Amino acid sequence: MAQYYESIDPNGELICQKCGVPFEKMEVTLAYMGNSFPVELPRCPICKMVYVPEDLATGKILRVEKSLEDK
Amino acid sequence: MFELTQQSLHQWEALCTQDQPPYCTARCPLHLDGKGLCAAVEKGNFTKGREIVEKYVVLPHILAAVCEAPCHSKCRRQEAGDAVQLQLLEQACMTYGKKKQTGSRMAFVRKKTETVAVVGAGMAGLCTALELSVRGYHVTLVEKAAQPGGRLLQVPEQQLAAADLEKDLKKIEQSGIMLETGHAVNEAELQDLLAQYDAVYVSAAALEDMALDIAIDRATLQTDIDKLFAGNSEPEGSSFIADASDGKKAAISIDRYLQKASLTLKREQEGAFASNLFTRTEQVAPLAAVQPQAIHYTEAEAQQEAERCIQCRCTECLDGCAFLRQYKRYPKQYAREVFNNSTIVMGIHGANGMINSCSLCGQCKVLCPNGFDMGEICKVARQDMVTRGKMPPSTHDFALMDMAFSNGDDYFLARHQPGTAESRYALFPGCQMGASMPQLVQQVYRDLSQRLDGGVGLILGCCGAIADWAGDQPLLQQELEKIRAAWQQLGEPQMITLCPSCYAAFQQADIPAVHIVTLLSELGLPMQSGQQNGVLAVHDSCTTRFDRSLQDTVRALAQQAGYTIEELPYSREKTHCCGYGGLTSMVNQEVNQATIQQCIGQSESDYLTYCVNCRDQFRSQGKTTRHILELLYGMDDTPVADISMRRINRQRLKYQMRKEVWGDDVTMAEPKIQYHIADEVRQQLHECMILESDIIQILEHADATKEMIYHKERQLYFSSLRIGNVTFWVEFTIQDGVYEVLHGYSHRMSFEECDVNGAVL
Ligand code: SF4
Ligand code: SF4
Ligand code: SF4
Ligand SMILES: [Zn+2]
Repeated sequence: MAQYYESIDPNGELICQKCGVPFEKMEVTLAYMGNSFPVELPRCPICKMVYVPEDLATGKILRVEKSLEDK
Repeated sequence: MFELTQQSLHQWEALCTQDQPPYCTARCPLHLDGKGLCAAVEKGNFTKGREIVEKYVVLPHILAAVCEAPCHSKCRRQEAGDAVQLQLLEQACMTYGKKKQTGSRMAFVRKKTETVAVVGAGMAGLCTALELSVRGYHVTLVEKAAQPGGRLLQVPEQQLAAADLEKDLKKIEQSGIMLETGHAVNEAELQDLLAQYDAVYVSAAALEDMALDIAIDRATLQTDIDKLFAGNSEPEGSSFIADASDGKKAAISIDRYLQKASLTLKREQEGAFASNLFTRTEQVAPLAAVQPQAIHYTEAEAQQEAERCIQCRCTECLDGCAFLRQYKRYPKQYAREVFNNSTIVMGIHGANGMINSCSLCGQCKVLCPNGFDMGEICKVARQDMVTRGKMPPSTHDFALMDMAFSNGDDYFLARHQPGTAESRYALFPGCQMGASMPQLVQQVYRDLSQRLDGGVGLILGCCGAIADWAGDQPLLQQELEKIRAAWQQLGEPQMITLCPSCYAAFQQADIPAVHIVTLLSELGLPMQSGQQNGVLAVHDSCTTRFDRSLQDTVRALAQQAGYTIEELPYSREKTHCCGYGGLTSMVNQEVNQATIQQCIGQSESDYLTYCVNCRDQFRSQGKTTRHILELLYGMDDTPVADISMRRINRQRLKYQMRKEVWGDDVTMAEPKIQYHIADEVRQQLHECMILESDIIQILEHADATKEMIYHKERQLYFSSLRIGNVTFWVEFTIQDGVYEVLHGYSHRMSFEECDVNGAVL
C-alpha cells in the first residue's frame, strides 16, 4: 500500500452536483514547486473533482508550501 | 552599494558599531566589563559583580583598592552629571559579593610542562606570574625584598587594607607558584635563569637593579635576548593599572611564545583603546555621583551609583524602526544573516521572511551615525532572490497581480484632455489613489483641467514601485516603459503626481514630474477648500524624506487652509515608513501592525499625510488621518477601502472618467450571477486576500458547469477554481437563485495531472 501524506474519508457526506454521485476516498497527487505528494482525498468517482477541506488547505498544505518556498 | 560578497559584507558590518565595547571597558587596560558590573550591582547582585571583577583581574582586592580608574575620564555619564565611580563599585563587589566556591579559571586548564621564571613581585610581576599560572605554566616568582608586593606595600592602610592585600597575595601560594623572596637577581644569575627556564620575565624595577641594557618591543614586551621578556612601565610614577596591564601583556606574549604562536597577531585591541560605539545622552537626565558617607559604599549607596550607569549601547536605528526591533538583534547581525541566506546552496533560507519584511524606507541610514542602510541590504537581497529564482512565489504574488491589474485593461489609460490634441500636463493619480479615493481623483482632474492652460491629460496606471519593492528589476523597467510610452504618446507632458512614491519614481526615471501640492501652492488653493481649523500632526512620506521643499509646501498649504501644524518626533528626513513601503503590509502582518502603531503612537493629534497609503494604513488602525487633498478639496471622510473595493474603485474610476469626461459609450461588465456577501464574510475574505472578483469568477464557473460539491450535513456547497497560481475555494448556499457566500479559503498547491478544476486529464 502506498504511503499517503494525508488521508481523508468523505464518509458519504459529499455529493457531486454534476454527476449526482457521492464522493469517495481516492488518490490524488498534490504538487508544488516541483515536489509532489500523494494523498487520499474525497473525489467524484466519475468526473474526478477533488475536495480539499479548509483545515488541510490552511494547515498542513500551507506549512508544506511555506517550507518548500524557503528551500 | 551593498553587494553579496564577503568583502562588501565586511565593509557594511564595520559600519554598525553596536558591538564595540562601552567607553569605560575600552579605556580600561584590562577591559573590565563596567556596564555588566553596573547592571549586576543595580539589581543588588554583588556576587555577580564580584565574578565580573575576578574574571578580568587576577588581583581583584588589590586593584579594586588602588586602580587609578582611567575609565572614569571616558564614562559617558559625564555628559549628564558625573562619571560612574566604577572603582568604588568594584570595591563594593569585592566586599559584599560572595567568593566563588570552586572553579576559578584554573580549574579547566590543562597543566603544561613549560616553566617560567618571573623576577620582581610588584604589581606587574605578580600579575604576570598569576596570569601564567592561570594558563597552566609552572611559575617561579623571585623577589629581592623579604615579601612580595613592591610599591603596593607603601599604599596607606586607609586605601588598601592589609587584610585585602593579604587575601590576594595568598593566591600566589594557592595557585602553586614557587615564591623565592630575599633574592636579588643579577646579570649573571639571569643567564642561569634563562638556561634553566623556558622563558623569563623581568619586571621594569628588577631590570633597573640589574642595569641591563636591552631593547624591549613595546607591543609584545619581548626583548632582543631569546626567551627574555621584560616590563616596560616606568617604575617611578607609573600607575598600578598600567603595571597590571603590562603583566597581562607579558603573560600573553610568553604564552604565545611557548605555544609557538604569533606574538603580534590580533593584539590591536589589547590594552586601552577608543571605542567607536555611539550612545546618545541628550535625553538622559543629569545625576551627580553618589558619594559614600564613609570611605566605602554601603550596599544601598553602591546600588544607587550603579543605577546611574546609562548602560551604553547604540539603539539609534532600533528606536526608529519597528522592523529592526522585531527580530531582536542588530543590523550587523542581520547583514550577516542576509548574506548567509543568499549563499547557502542546500537547506532552508531562514532569513527570507526578514528580508521581505523591511519597508526599504532608508530611515535607518539617516538615524545611524555611520549611515548603515538595512533597506539597501534587503533590497539587494530581494533582487538577488528574484534573479536566482529563489523568491518565494507567494510573497509578492498579490501585490504584483494588483500592479498587473493597474497597468491592464481594467485601469490603464492615457488620453489628452477632451477637445485638445496636446497635453502640457498629465495627471497621474497612481494606482493607490485611484484604488482608495476615486472621487477625489475626479475632483482634482476637474479642477486642474479648468485652471491649467495647455491641456491636462490623464494617465491611469502604476509607476512600477511595486515591482521595485518586490525586487523585480526587469518588471520594474517593463512597467516604467509602459508609463514612458504613454507619456511620450501624450507629447511628454509634465506629470502631476498625487503620490510621493510615483513622484520619486519619475524623478529617478527622468520623467518630469511635480507633486500636486507643489502645483497647488503655485496655482492657489482650489475653490472647495473652505476655511478650517484644528491641529494636525504631519506624517512625512518616506519616499520623499529628503525633499524639504515638498515637506514645507505641505505644511504651508495646511496652514493656509487654517490648520495649526504639529511636528512629530520622527519627521522630515527621519520619518517612519507607514508600513506600506517595501510591501511590508502585504508580507508581514506583525511588522506591519508594529510599524503602524509606532507611527500613530507619536501624537494624540489627528494626522495629516500627503500619501494615500500612509492615510489608509493609519486609518485602518483607527487613527484619524486626513490626506492633504481631502482637506484642500473639502472631501468628506471616506472609510478605508478593502482589497476588493480597491479594484472596483479603479475600474469605476476609469469607467466614469471615460463616460463623463470623454463621453465614451461604455458599460461596466455585470456579473452573470446574483450573489450576496455579508459584511463579516467580506472581512474574512479581505483578511485571506480573496477578492470579490475571484468569488464572482468561481460562482460563475460553478453556475455554468455545476461543478459544485454538496455537503449533506452542513447543507452547503463548495466550489473551487484555479486563478493564477492559487486555487480558491468558496462555501455558499443558494437561495432563490442567489448565491449566498459564506466563507473562502485558498491554497497554492495544485493537483497533478488535473485540469484547472481538479479533473484528471
Ligand atoms: S544605528 Fe544601528 S546600524 Fe548604526 S551603529 Fe547603531 S546599531 Fe548599528
Ligand atoms: S555609563 Fe556605564 S557603560 Fe557607559 S561608560 Fe559609564 S560606566 Fe561604562
Ligand atoms: S524598514 Fe526602513 S528603517 Fe527599518 S530597516 Fe528597513 S529601511 Fe531601515
Ligand atoms: Zn462528478
